[in-house]
Amino acid sequence: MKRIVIALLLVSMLATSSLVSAQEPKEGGTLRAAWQASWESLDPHFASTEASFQILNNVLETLTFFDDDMNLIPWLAESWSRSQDGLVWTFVLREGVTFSNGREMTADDVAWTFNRLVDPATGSGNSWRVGGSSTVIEAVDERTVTFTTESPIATLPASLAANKSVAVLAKECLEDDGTIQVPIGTGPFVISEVEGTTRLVLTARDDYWQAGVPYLDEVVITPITDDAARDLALQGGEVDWIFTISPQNLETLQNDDGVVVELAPRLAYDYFGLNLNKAPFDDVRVRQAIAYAIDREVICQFAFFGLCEPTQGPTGSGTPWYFPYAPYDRDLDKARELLVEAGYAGGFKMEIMTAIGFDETLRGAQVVQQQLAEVGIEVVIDNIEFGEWLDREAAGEFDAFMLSWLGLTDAEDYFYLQHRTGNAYNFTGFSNERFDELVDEGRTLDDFDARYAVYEEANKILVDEAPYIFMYVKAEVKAFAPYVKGFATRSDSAVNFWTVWLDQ
Amino acid sequence: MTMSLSDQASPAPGLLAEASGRFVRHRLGMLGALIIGILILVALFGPTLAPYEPDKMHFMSPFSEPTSEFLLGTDDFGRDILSRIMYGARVSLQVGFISVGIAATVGTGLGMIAGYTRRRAIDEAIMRSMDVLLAFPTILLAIAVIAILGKGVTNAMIAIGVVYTPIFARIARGEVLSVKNEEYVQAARALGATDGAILIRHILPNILPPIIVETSLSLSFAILAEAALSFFGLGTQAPDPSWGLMLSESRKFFNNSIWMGIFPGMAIMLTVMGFNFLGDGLRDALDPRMKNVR
Repeated sequence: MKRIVIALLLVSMLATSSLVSAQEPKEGGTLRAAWQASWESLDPHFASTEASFQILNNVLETLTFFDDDMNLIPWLAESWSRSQDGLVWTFVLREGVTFSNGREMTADDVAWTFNRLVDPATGSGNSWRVGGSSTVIEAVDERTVTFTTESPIATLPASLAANKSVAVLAKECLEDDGTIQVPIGTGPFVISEVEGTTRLVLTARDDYWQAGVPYLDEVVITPITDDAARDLALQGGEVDWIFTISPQNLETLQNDDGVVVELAPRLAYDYFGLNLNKAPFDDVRVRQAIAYAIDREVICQFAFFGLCEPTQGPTGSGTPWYFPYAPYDRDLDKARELLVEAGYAGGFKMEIMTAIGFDETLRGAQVVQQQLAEVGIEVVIDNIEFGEWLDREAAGEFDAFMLSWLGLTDAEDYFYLQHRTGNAYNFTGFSNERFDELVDEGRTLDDFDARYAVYEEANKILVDEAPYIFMYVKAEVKAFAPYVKGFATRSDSAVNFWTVWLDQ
Repeated sequence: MTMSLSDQASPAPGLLAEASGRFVRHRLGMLGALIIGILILVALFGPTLAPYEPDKMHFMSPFSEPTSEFLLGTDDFGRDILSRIMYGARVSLQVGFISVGIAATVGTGLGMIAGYTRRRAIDEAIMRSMDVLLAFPTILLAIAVIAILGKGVTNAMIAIGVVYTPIFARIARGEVLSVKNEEYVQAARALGATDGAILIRHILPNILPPIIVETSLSLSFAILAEAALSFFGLGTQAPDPSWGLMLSESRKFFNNSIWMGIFPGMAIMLTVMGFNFLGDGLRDALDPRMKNVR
């Protein structure tokens, strides 16, 4: 039922957005935008949160770009090609692109940016996107850059569009101590004011390389962390645009004439990971029993108020990498049988870590608690600060951790980082030889169909082995005042303000 | 409240009987006692009286208004609010009694030592550290203690206990100072009683009335403090029912499902009111100033 509602909403959204595009955009004005959290670092090589990345999204640009329909298109690079052996990627830069300080962008800037990213001395957690410190980035001439990787990375062009951690910087923004406080990029806006973490102003550039945009003069960003308060700020006309809504308010907001709500299926998933280094989770039958014992429809409905699509694997229907493999429709008898086989007929006690500030994890865990109790598994919920959550995840001090993965564009994003043996984000301790072969191979292939087959097998192994119990894929939700036009609610959650204009 | 001097002047039929007589005639005090009595019964027999398990999620009927099936409605997970409030009564009372118990025992003990000792340094050391604790706003101090101990209902009890300790210490010290040179104390000392025996057998019974009154009043504050800490996510942890936590969770749904917040809020209000009335009644019944009217 809920899914039908979402589908209808999506259709109506598409219909309205095409109507909107028929209007002639108006220039000028200030957009007051409310963020869902305070930004942390504005250095793209250290930013790790949505709040930071979505600011940088309007200030910095990448060589390649995903358009609103998630097609990879040229951006700062006009074209790219790959060497025969697959190890060298060559990018040809667009001409006439200037940084916000007026200087023209050259291949040297690109090389400098990526060398800073991969330099171990920088210590960026995002260097894996271009293959890590072994990757060599060189400026061949003014407009040509090469990336030489140790092993073939077929997905490099897509990886370079993933988020602004791989954006091009002007080295003038580097401070004497090697940090970047306010980055300088080629984007449509510049960060003109930063008041701690309470207010940030983006000012439009008049020398931006794309003609005609941005339409706005300014975007004033303030964080409002409380969901209900943020919704009210929009309803009360205090702000024009909000980062996300409280899902339980969807209906109220939709019925409000002063609010437009847009939805898109997100490139993300919600899950809980199990500690495979620990009994009883080292037994695949126990993990499968858990996967059989939960009811994902109910979890989606109660954890995220139905603004989601229940899934048994990592991918939802909004990505071309959707795999329909779904063996775990709720089956309590099957779950009990598996527990008996594994020697846990009487059930056991386990703890699920949820993170404060990620409400849906605590809500989801309470439903999982109730459902697992039906097969004798007693769940204790430990709702802790996100910092502590991350520490304990990294130290392996958990039975299970619940959260989501966001910003997943390529197939690799769904499998490689989290599950390949020994990877930095593989916290469950999952290790499967065939799976590793597949995800390694997937990185080297170009052809979509060939890659699809590879990841389809990897997906099956992952779902069968169940180190992660997948629950649902959230809908991306944005809300704004009716006079805010031209904003695209995107599956990858990217917030792009340069196409936005105010009809007032 | 409406006591005449003749009540006091008549030959005492015993202090306790006199006080209870006064209490029975105190209407608000009796109302408070009635509310608290009912609350204690609910807490004791909640599991048999409650229509549902407090954590049972009725997935078919979330956000149900009060109906014959769910008398006070259901919450966002379809859990019965009446049942959760009944179980929540246990949490509130338990936290109230244990935390105030800690504060009363430790605070009174320290206050008595400070008041009785002849060494000024001990008195100063105890009372100045109590002053330090008193200098903090109560909730802030409780949050600070929880920051050290970690969140959870047990630590919330300790935190609230710490916060109310200085109040008891002050009262106890003041009372001890006023009675320690009384003749019966000197008599006991002359008979060779040890300091400990004098404190416990002779002084404590005589300073008890104000402490009893303070205990009753503190209970209401402790229950409010637990609700506040749980509201901030520091006390009782989901999915356990606690009134403060229920109130906190209801906030997000207040626009559409007002009953989720109203009923736990009423439970807190009634309980706090009950303890306050009870405390008022006890104070009027036990007030030492009244006793001294001779």
